[in-house]
Amino acid sequence: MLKAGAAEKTREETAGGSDEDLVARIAAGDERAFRDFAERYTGLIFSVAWRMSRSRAAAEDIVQETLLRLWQKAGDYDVKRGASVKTWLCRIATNLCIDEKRKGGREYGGELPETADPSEGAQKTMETKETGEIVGRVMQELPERQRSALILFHYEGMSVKEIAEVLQTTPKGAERLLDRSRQALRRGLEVYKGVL
Amino acid sequence: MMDVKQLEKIMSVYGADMARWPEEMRGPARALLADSQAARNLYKQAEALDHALDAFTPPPLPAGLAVRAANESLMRARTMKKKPGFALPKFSFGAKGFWMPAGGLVAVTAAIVLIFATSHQPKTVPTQDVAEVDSLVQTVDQQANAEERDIKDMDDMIAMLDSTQPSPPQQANPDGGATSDEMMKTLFDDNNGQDDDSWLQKL
Repeated sequence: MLKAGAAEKTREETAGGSDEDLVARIAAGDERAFRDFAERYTGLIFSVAWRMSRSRAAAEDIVQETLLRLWQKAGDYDVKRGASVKTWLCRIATNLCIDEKRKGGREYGGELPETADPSEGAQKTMETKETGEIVGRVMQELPERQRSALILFHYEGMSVKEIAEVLQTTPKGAERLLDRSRQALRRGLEVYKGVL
Repeated sequence: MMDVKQLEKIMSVYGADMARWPEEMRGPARALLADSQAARNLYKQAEALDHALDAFTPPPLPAGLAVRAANESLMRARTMKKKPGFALPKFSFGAKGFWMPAGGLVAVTAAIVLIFATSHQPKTVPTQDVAEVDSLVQTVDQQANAEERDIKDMDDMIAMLDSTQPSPPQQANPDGGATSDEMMKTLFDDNNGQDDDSWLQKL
C-alpha cells in the first residue's frame, strides 16, 4: 500500500511523474497531484463511461464519482499487486457504470434519436454516424461485463490480461467475455443490413 | 496448421486486427488466409465488425471537465468529512471506537426486533389440523356416550335384580339361593352368546 510521504515533491515532478507517483501523492492528500491526475485521465474515464452509458450527463457524473473514489481510496492502491493505475482506475469507473445501470437510476441512451423500423436499414447505406448509433444501441443490449470487455479491448486498447484485472476474472474468462460480446454484437447488427 | 474454425474463434475474441492477436497465431493465420477463400470471407466479416465498432465514437470531451470534476470531487470529499450526519457520541475505543459500540447497538436492536416479531406472530392453526382435532373430539364423545349407556344399562339391570330379590344384596341367601352379586356372576357367565331372553328365564 502506498504511504503518505511523497507530498513534499515539487509540482514539476508531479506533473511529469508516473501514475504511481501521482497516486502516492494523492494518498498523502496532495490536491495538486489530484488535479494533475484528473487532467491525465478524465478523457479515458469519460470515453469508457460514455460508451457504457451513451449519455453525456451520466458519463460526466461517472468521471466525478471515479475521481472522488480515487481521492478517497488512493491509499488502497497497491502497486505490488501488479495492476497498473490505468486498470485500477478503469475498474473503478466500470464498476460505477455497472452499478449505476443496475440501480436503474439513470436514463441510458436517451440522447440518441430512435431509429425507424430496422428493416428500413436494409434499404439504404448507413452513414458512419448512423452506424455508430446503431452499434451503440446494440451494445447496450449486451450484458454489462461483455460490453465492458469489448469497450476496454477495442477502444481503450487493453490487453486480455488487463481486462481480466479490471473485471476481476481470469484471462480465459476475459477471452470468453470478448468472444460472446462479438458474437452477440454480430447477431444484433445483422438486423441492420447496412452495417455489416 | 490452423483451420478455419480456429481462425473464426481467434477473430471472435480479438477482432480482425492481427496486431492484437497472440503472436504465435499470426503466422499460421496468414498461411490459412493465403490458402482458403472461406478463411478470407470470415476475415472480411471480422473487419466489417471492427469498422462498425470504430463508428461508435464518443462526443468531444466537455471543456473544462477535468478541472470541474476535480473541484467538485474535492468539495464533496470535504463536505463528507464535515457532514454531521454521523455525529454520534465519540467512544474511546481507539481506532475502531465507533464500530464496536455501533455493532453492539445494532445487535441489541436486532435481538429486540426478533423477539418482538416472534412474540407477535398470529397464532394460526392449519385448517387440516382443526379438522383432525374436531374428528378426534367427536370420536371421544361417541365413546364416552357408549360407555355411559353401558353403565346405565347395568344400573337398570341391578335395579331390576334388586326389585325381584328384596333380601339385602350383600348377605347370603338363607334359602341357599344366590345373592344378587352371585346371580350377576352366574348371569354373565352363562349368558355367553345366548339370546337376551334366556337370561330372563333363568331369573
